[in-house]
Amino acid sequence: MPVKGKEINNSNVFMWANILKITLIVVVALISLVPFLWIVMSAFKGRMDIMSPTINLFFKPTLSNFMEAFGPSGGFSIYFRNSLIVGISNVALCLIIGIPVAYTFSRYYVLGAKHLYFFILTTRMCPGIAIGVPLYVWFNKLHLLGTIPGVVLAHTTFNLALVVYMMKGFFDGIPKEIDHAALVDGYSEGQVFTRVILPIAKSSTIASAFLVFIFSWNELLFAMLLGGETARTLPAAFPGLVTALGTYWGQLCAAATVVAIPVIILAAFIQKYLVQGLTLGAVKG
Amino acid sequence: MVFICLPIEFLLGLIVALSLTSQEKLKKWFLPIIIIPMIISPTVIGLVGNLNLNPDFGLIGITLKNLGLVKGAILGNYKLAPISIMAIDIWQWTPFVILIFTAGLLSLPKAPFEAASVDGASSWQTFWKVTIPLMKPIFIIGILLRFTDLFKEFDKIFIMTGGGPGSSTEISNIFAYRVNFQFWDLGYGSASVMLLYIVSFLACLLFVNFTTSKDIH
Repeated sequence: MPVKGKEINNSNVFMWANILKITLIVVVALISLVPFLWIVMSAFKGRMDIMSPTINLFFKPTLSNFMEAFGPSGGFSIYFRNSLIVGISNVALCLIIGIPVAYTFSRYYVLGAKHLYFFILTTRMCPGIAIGVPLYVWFNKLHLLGTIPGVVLAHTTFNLALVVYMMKGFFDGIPKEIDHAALVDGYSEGQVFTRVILPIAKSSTIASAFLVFIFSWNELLFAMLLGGETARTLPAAFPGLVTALGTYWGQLCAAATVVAIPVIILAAFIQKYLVQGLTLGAVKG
Repeated sequence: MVFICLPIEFLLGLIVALSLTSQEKLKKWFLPIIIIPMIISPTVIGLVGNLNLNPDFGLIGITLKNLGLVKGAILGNYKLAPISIMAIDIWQWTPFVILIFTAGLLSLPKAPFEAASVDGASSWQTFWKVTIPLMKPIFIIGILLRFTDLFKEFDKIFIMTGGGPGSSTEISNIFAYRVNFQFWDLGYGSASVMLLYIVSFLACLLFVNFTTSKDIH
């Protein structure tokens, strides 16, 4: 017997649960966005506005931070160029090495494939410093310290695993009948790879390329250790702005905006493949 | 630090992922915004932490100072620095957990849920007895990935506190970095780096174990 005045019908609960969920999503989105938005806003503030002890949302926007950082006296444009070169070279290197490796793992019998596969995974999972120390000693002897190819090689150590895993997962999904049909049609095995399989793999290739670029662009440890002064990339320039004369917050925020915005744009393009790339193909979707 | 951040990220991520999957229209627009902290450079995250937690002109710092909860520096405080590092880490990586769990929840087969509703299970029972067991592989993958990523953590702690006041926020990576490249004791440093590698190796073994045994197509 329903208690008078306390009847809860299903639709009421459903509506309240919905409102709660929507509120939660909006709150989480705001929490994710606002601290970062503060940095982007600060990039456009003059010095007095950044250091103001009260939070005010309205200020006069100025481009002076960007001019100081990226102008001739700042030097950040050189770091931007370095980051770009390192990123694109890294993408090229990882794709050129990684895609044939993934295809081989997928289609041919490789001796000790399981162990090799596992070893490639460890390169992605070990702390950067574990690879950084021996790399530093070797690059010292090879005179690769402070050069861009050195940083590119260092970034390849962990990005290659990403390409191999993503592309192998994709190649596993292409039925072998396509290979056989092409072979029957008279293609050689190399031609099967370049003319038949690669065009099918375009979207996955682009997704892994973007991911490799993002990870290389964001990287700090190897850029700091192995880049030094001459091959410094954008993230590695951040500690340099915290000087004894005081922290240049404006330039820091401007540099941070330049570091972060391209990544957000790229990630928006590859949204579909983001989960697969980040979990190394373990979670489909 | 690892063991405090992981459960919090896991639970928060699960709750938000569950809410997110039930809202189709919102998901398309809000998911890209939610994953912003995860995708930007850890260096920028370090700067976000530095600027926001500054009690003189940072958004969160001024709010906390006005509420009277802190006096003086936050990242320079022996006790508050590790807590704030953990909070920033949770802020950065919960979107990753949300993303994985959302993808996982959306990929669950519909058949068990239909069977459960035919059998007359309430939504609470469906959640505990159907959703959670089906999501177990994804939970394990998420936990292992987060564990290895937390173990690899370097950039943002280096930028925010560089080891912290004293050594309160010095994690193994920063310790190895200091031994190797500030004290230049490469022998001791190589030994500590090897230990780090062994731990990550073992975690990697677990990861491969769990992903390949489910992969029998």
